[in-house]
Amino acid sequence: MNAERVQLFALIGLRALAEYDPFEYKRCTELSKRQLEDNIQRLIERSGDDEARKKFEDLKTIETELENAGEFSFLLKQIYVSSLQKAQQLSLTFFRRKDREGESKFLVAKYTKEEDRGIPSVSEHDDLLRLSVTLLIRKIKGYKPLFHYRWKSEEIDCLLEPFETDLPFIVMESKSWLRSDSQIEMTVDQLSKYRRFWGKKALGIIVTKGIGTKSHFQPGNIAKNIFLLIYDPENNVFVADNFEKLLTAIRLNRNARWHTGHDK
Amino acid sequence: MSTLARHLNKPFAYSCQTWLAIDIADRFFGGVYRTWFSTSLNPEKNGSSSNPLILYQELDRIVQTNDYNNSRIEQLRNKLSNWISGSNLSPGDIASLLAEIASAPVPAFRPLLWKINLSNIHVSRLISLGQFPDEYLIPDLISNEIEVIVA
Repeated sequence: MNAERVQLFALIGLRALAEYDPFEYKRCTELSKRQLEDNIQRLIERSGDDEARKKFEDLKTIETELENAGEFSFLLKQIYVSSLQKAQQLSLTFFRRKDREGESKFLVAKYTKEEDRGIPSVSEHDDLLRLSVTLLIRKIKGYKPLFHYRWKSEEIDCLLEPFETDLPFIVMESKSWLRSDSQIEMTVDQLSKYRRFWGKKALGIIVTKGIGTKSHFQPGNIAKNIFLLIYDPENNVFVADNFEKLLTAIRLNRNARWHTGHDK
Repeated sequence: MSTLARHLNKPFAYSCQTWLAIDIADRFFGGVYRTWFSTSLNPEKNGSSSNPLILYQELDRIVQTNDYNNSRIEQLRNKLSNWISGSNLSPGDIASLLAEIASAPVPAFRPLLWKINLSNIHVSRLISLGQFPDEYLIPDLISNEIEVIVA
């Protein structure tokens, strides 16, 4: 399966649309029917795709043999819809497979492209933080989240304050994407600085939707008492579950001594 | 000069576009929009899908209620997919965009109401679609030629 196969079925759908709804076809494209058919033929020959060939033959048969206008229109619409749906299905399968093969380690939320343009979306970033924290405190229990916690002149994305006095504080930073190792290292430095304020045993967590393909970091324990968690907002799960290590760290760091948490 | 304003005897035109369509045009077509429009905000003789005001109201409500089963969303997915399929993008980009459109959530279809100054557009860029009396198409509109009046 490849991208050309996706395009092939999409073009067959478009060819059917050109017959049964020429106005809609004109809204979509400037390709002539002749150009469209040439593209389809070329792709069929190159791919040798029997399913597509059969679909295109059906289309041509309907066009040349049917005389009943109602029947003609109905069948062409069926070809249009089924071809387009096939293209959509193949495209989704194709990109899921590419992700699985490791061509991209990003969990791509494709409809929010502000990230790709380098423009951070405030609401999206905040959603990532709040959703991931909510999931986290259901798993680790015993913590109250303090979002956008002011500390000196800085703002910590979230401070997890323990209900029990012997649990360690947890400071969290969320990043929509961590594209480079230097970005991860900078966030680790930032968290290390915050952690020191709440004592040696405080923990740091970086939560993100994905890390760059070439990153040397793996989700989990990436520095002393600092954890990297990958959160999938669509399914509300942490990918590559590392909670055992995190829970162990929390257990090991019990009886920590810290500031009251409200010394700003 | 043969402006669209003179040709259509109207100073402005209106269109309703979805955020997703504009976003795709910005990323893959260098900010050139294939845009339908009507010379009235509420052209009574056009169908609902070619009436900017009705389309805006309808989409706004669909998005606010997250009505993902609404047939308009399905129709828009198909329209966008057709536009991409008939473009000159590479097969990889086409496959990627079809996946993106197929899996886009309802908020990606949030509407924007556009006002187009017809005095700045040459008549040679006009395509008359012919299905409804007040529906036209410009295949290469750019952002300087539009004003977003309701987002």
